[in-house]
Formats: sequence, C-alpha cells, structure tokens
Amino acid sequence: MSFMKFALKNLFAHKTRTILTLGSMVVAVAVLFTLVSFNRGYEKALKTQLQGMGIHMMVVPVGCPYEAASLILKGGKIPNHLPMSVLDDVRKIPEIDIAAPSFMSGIVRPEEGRTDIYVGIDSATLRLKNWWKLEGSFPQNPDEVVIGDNVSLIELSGIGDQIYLPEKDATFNIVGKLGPTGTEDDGFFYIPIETAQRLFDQPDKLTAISIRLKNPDDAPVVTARLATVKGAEVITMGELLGTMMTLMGAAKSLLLSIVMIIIVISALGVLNTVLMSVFERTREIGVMRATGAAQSHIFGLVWLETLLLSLLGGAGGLVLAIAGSRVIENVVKRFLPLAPKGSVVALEPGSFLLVLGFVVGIAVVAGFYPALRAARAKPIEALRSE
Amino acid sequence: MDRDQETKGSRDRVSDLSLGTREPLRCSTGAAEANPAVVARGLTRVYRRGAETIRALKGIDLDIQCGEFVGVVGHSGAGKTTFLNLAGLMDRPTEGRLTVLGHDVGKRGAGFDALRRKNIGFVFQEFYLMPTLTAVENVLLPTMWGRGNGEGRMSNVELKGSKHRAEELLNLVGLGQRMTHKPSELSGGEMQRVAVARALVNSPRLLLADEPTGNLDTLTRDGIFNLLLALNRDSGLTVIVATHDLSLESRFTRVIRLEDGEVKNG
Repeated sequence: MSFMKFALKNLFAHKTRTILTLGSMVVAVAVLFTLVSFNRGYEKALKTQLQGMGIHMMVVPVGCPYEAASLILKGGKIPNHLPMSVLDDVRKIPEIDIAAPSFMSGIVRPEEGRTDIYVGIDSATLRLKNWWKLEGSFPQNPDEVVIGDNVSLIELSGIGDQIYLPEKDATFNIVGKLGPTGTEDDGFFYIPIETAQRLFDQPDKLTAISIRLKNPDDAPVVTARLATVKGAEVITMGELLGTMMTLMGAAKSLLLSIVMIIIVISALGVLNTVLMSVFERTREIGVMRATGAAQSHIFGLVWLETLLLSLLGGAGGLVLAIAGSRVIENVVKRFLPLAPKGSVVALEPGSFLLVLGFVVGIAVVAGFYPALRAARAKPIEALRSE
Repeated sequence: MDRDQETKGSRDRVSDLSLGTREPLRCSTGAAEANPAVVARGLTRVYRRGAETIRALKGIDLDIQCGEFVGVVGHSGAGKTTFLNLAGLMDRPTEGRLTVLGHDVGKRGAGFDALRRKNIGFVFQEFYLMPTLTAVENVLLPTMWGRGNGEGRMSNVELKGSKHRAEELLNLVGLGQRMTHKPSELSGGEMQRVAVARALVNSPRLLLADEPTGNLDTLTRDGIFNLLLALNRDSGLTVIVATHDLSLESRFTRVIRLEDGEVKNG
C-alpha cells in the first residue's frame, strides 16, 4: 500500500466533512482565479481598445467626466461644454494631424429601458476612426443619420429606413450603417454636428475634441500648448487608461479584501478538518508509531493529507472558474459601464501559478500545526487515548 | 494439554513462515543462552499523573533469551504493559538498564523507530486495526514506513513482495478468505489474527503481545494462543506475552511473575 493511497483513505474516512471542506476550497479558488483572470483581462482589453482607437489625446471641458457616454446612458447631463472656438485654436497647432469635434447627448426612453445616444460629428471623425467600416454614406444633410451596429439590431432598421424622434419632432433618414467595431461606437446614432447642437439646444458647443498627432512623441508639446486654452482640459490616452484603472482600483480593493477573507476562511476550514482528523485518530497514530512509523512519517502523512485536500479543492475551483468564466464575464460587463468589448477574462498561465501558490500556501500553513501535533504524539499516550 | 499437541494443527503452516522472507524469524542463529533478547537490570519506570507518582516498575532484573516463549503474568497494575512497552522501544526507562536485541534502550536515539520496525512485532489486547483499511492493508501497514531491513521507501517490486507476504500471513492465520474485509466486518478473533499477521509482516526477531487474548472468548483465545505458540516452536521466534489469565501459565516455556512492579520469580 502506498503512502498516497493511505492518505486518501484517511481523508475520505469522514466523507461529509471532507466534501464540505473541499467545497469551501473550490469556491475560494474559483473566486480567486476568476478575480485574478478578470483583473488581468480587463486591463489588457482596455489597453488594447484605447490603443486601437488611434486617438492620442482628447480636449474636454474642465470638470467634464472622461466617460461622457456612461453619464448620458444613466440619464445624466454633461455639465460643461467647450465653445466651438476651441476647435479653431486646436486646429491651428501644427503638430496635430486630425482634430475631430463631437457633441454628445441622449434621449432617455424609460418605457424601453434605454437611452439613445446621439453623437454629432463631422467628416474628421471618419478620418480619425479609419477602422470604421461604413456601409452607405456619411451624413451630408441635416436630416441624415448613420447608425451603429447594435442600433441597427435594436431598431431593426437599415439604410433607407427612417427614424422618428417624437421628443424632438424630428425625422432622420438612415444613410449609413457601421460594421461592428467591438466598441461602444456600436451603440450610437451619428448625425451632423450642427444638427446635434441644434437638436439639443446647445449651439456652438462641443463635448470633446479627439486628436491624433502627426507624431505621438509630440504629446507633451501639444499638451503644453493646449493647456493655455481657457476652459479646456487635455487628457492623454495614457492618463485616461490610468484614470480608468484608478476608478477600477477601488472596486478591485474591495474584491481583493473579500478574497483575502475567503482565503483565511478556507485556510481555517482546512486547518479545522485536518486538526479534527488528527484528534480523532490519536490512537491510530499511536498504532502507526507502534508499528515503526517515525515522527517524520506521521508529519509527512498528515501534511500529505492536507496537500491532497487543498489540491483537490484547487483543481475543482479551477474547473468551476473556467466553466463559469463566461457567465461571470457577462455579469461583470453588465454592471461595469467602462467594460471594454471582447473578453475581459484572461485565463493565463500566470493566474494558474498564482492559484497554485495559494493552494500550496494553504496546505503548508493549515497543515503544519496538525502535522506537528500528530508527529509529537507519544506512542504510549496515543495508544491509551480514547 | 501438551504443548506439542496444542501446536500440531498450526505447525505445518507456521514452519513455512520463513519461506520467501528476507531472513528467519529467530533473533539469533546461535545458542539461546548466549543470545539474550531482553536484559533488564534495575529497570525502573516512574510515571507522574498530576501530583501522584506511580512506580510502575521498581528496579527489576530479568533476562529473556532468544527463542523463549515467555509469559509475563500478574494482576492489573503489576507492571506487565509497562515492561512490554519498554521492551518494545515505545517508552524509556526512568532508571536502570535495558538491552533489547543487543541495543541499549537507555541510549535511545533516532534509530529506534527503525529498530522497532525491523525487529519487533507488537500485538495489543484491543487489536488496534485501522478502521479504514482492509485486512491485507492493515497487515501491510508496518511495511509502509520503510523496507523493514533498511531505510527508505519500497520499490514497486518490494511493494509487490510485501503484498504477497501479507497475503501469505493472512492465509497462515486462516484469513485467506477475509483479506479485503475491513475490521468492522471481522470478529474479535479474526481481528486479533490480522493483528498477529501485521506484527509478523516485517519478519521480526521479537514478538510482544500485551493481553492478546484478553478480549476473546475461550475458544478464540486458544486459537490465538496456539498460533503464538506455533510461531515460537516452529520458527524460533522469541515471544513475550503479558497476561493476567492464570490458566495460560502452564503453556509458557517460562513465566515471569510481576507484582506491584517487582519480579516475584523468574
């Protein structure tokens, strides 16, 4: 009989207790692995998305939230706007290749549980977002609209159809449709910027100016020059990413605290199970010693049992996490407005190693004391125990 | 009943015990008188239970030679179990000198676990079988801690050899059909026979049995006792049995009587 087989038999001598402890380990590992994978995947996806935009910086009104779409989606209004004159100042800077103005506002549709976001743009946006796959044409007239891919699915509309806005008593002809971009662009209505300003009673106002530089290395120079523009604030994409990650940081800290609690609880659970098992088997440990087991054998056996318990729990947790990662991803993305499109859960080898470290760490910490206690049992006293 | 007659039934099988084993069961190949298995001089063991001091053994002197079948008899509390625990290297003397199979127990060190594993088999009154293991796995338990004739884990070949020997021993004690049964599925007599097989699996030189028949009915008691007797008679195994059963005294080659921690005759 091998040491391993003996350890497994000991472990499952009390099936219910062992299974319950395994259950807590499975949940702890699944949560830890999902969180680590989500954290890595989210950062990666966000970075990729921002870098893919080809936008090096944005000019926004002072005090304006970076993520205007998120605010509008929740029914809020953007407090400040840039005057159109800022666009002229921006376009005078020679290092700037493209400066695309936009005006964004929304129409809340409570009965349908959504907010339609209208984005006023000009042809500069089309040059800036050169990855857009536009079917049809760009709006040339005030009553023309281009719709994002998700909008066409929701509205069940396509090129040639009309959209009527009863709130504004306006009708738009759909002249173009964007192919799926995998970004929030898929959910917007694009109309000429002047139309948008008029529609929402904000003439000569802008929400933001997206900028592409001729050379990204000129960002500090351009930022310095834009800093002199009154009422405007410059955000580079690096800052935007950093800010988003900071915003995420608070939520991440909370989640990590929860995970730490789970780790402590599962470690105590394993400790309790193994310690109880040692107490109950005092006489058996005496028999082992009487049949020639050295202290190191007993220590090794109890520690092996702990390691097996933790590894089984770890394996179960990983299976659960991988199986449930898509579900968790959907839930997370639903509640996080900043979530980028595509997969935000990255199942990486590094995460596996981290979880493996956690599992072995639990076994090492939780198994040490029971193993030591068992090994120190004196054969005679152990045999006499009830 | 004559000892020869008593052991007759078991003799043929027991004499085969050394077959296929690494070495004979006897503790020495030399003359018994020249090869003491256990020597005690002024052996004292004092326990402390709270404020109370218990002198379990009070400076006893005795010699047990290789190949003897010795009964250590006496009432409860006489010191029988204490002596067996000391002889079995599971306890240390408080005072005096004890030599077991040539090893000074007073100089007890790290090697005593291996010495116990390789040379000493123990049978307990309460069997002490592992409830989660089958009969054959219980017999194999002592082999799990090392090779029996050296340190380190066993190879696959050695594992197979041990399993074969465990099955051989269970056949010997008449449990060939009960190998895969767990202790809860065995009778008291069967459990004690598994315990005897377990004590023999590493081919010990010394077998210690502490009230091995104490929990058994008369018929089963005789079966177990005859088995121990046959092991001594036919394989030369040194056997020391602690018992308070006076009816068994006549069947030992020698009786050591303990009373209140002292030897009354030897």
